[in-house]
Amino acid sequence: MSLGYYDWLVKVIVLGDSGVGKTNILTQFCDSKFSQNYTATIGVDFKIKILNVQDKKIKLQIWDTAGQERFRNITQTYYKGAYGIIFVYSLIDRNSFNNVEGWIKSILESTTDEVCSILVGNKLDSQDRRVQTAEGEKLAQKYNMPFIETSALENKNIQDIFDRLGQNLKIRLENEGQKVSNNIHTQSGQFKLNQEVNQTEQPTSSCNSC
Amino acid sequence: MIGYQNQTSEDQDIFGSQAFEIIDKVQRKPSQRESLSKKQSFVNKQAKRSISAIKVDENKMMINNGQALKKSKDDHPLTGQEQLEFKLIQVEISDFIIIEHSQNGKDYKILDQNDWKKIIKQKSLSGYMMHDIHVSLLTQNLFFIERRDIWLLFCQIDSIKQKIKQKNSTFFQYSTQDNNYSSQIDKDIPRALMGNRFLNLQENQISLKRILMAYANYDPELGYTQGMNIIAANLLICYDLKTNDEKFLEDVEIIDPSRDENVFYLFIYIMVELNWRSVFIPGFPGLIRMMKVLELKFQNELPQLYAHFQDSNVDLNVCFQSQYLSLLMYGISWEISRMIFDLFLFEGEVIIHTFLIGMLKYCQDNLLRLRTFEEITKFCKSEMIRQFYELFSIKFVGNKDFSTILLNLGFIKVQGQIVPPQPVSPVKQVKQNNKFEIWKGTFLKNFFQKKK
Repeated sequence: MSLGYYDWLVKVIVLGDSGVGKTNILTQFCDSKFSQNYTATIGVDFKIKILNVQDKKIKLQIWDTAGQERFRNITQTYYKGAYGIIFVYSLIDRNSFNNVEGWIKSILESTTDEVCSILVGNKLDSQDRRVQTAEGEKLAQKYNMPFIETSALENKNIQDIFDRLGQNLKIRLENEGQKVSNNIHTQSGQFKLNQEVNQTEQPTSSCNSC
Repeated sequence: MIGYQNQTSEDQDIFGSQAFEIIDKVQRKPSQRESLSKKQSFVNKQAKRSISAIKVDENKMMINNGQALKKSKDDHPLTGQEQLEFKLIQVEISDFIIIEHSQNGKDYKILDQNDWKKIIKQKSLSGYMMHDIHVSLLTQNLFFIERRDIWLLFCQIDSIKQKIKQKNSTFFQYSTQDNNYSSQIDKDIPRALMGNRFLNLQENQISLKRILMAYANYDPELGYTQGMNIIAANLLICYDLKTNDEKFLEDVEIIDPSRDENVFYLFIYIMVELNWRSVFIPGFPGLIRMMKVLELKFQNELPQLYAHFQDSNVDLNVCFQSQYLSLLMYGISWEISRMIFDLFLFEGEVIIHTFLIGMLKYCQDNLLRLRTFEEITKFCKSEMIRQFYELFSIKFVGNKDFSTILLNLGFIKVQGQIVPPQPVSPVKQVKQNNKFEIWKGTFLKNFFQKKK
């Protein structure tokens, strides 16, 4: 089998206000890079990364979205079929924290599926904190999701976001078993399980699934 | 000379697309496009011409419509609006027929500096052919001093100024008024240009903020949407003298007090007169419409590639929305943006579609090799753009193949020789084997000696 082998293909979306660091988190995780000089995401974009969770390989198709409120009616189209959601706010932007519940509600409105979510407070590197850790924890508890504080700049806890999300995804996928593949397949024609892909990115680690 | 032929009879495989000689069946009356005031509604005129043609070509339309209904997505019948849009495009395409290889097509005369100066002086395009100007802009044969005035002329800056005056307002008033978009604009200013130091300067950041705030106040229904920062920032950097100058006027200090105000007027022209605001207003009606136009053009002009995209479940929105939202300027260098502005200010929306279809044509072979929607989308969002614009970094003046390239990519409809301007001042002759000399750093030097 090719290096692109995986057990599951899962769609994940990253949501949160403009400028909280969604794209930087993704770039750090997928390409191990941080760019000080980047362009605001407009519309939607996505990245691919294979995540190892114990003995399983989960291929994450992670959708990055524009943060400005009025883009929601474009980005909501891509909520469909998502199995994981990463809600991001910035520790130095109080408003972005206050708006997290709005983002959570936008998900509840547009998808009835149960999703694995995680709450992320980014920009841990900054001295000018405006949101306390306890507040983030409390909000995460309210919606029953894990919580983590990160720094995309210093690559701190970025891998942890996806490891924790991956754990929950794996449990869920294993529970659903065959049902998942059917679901994913009907929700969007572009998802095919266990397909061989010409891998263009770096293979993650031991890929001896042949 | 003109003959109806089957497409298969001519299989010149150049740049990955089949090369056909295509001729504009509609006679272009020179008078139609003479004065600048008439040029003003160039885009509208295209539509008008197309609508009148619908009546004439009723039979043809019936057939085309039949196909359209059959091919419509999800098997839903097309709405009236969609049918009209489809008709417009169909007619635009049916204006062209395939003909034999033309031995003596028309010439494209590249305008020289004196021509541009004359246009600026007479404040009108009269005496010049639209297609000559079109090709001249594509060859980037416009020097920045003239460019600034040409842009202001294309945009009819006087009439925009007049409108603002009538509202008893000024750029200064608009730019100093506060609004709800201020914090969003602040976030987006440092990240409007990728990899350019221009916006590291505080004064340029302040200018960009002023322009975007002024526009948000000028057009409260729209306000500000992300993407506008990219367009305004590129307009500012392309209009900025220092950016254009630094290559050879290093020791000269530039004072340009009306820069921001003029960029504001240019931005109004793009947003209001060329209606790019429709792309950004809440609900994105213009964006949705343009994506439909692109899809229809794609389907008609590149059926094989379009089918491949369909088979791979590629979502064109993911590939191309950001291109419309940034006027093709997402992550490209300002030198390329400058060319896009040249053409867009002159021709409007239609050139943006032409660019995107041109990219797809240029990269068709590569795209056909990619199999998954992930690979195709990724390619469309980065590699395709890079490869395509590389084409524009080669030297066009004196390149005999340029006309064929433009024809194959859909930038011109008629094959013709491109006639370079007669050198007035000593223009360095390009050596035969240096034909594809990289433009950056050498292009300007061909026209101006660095001051000693």
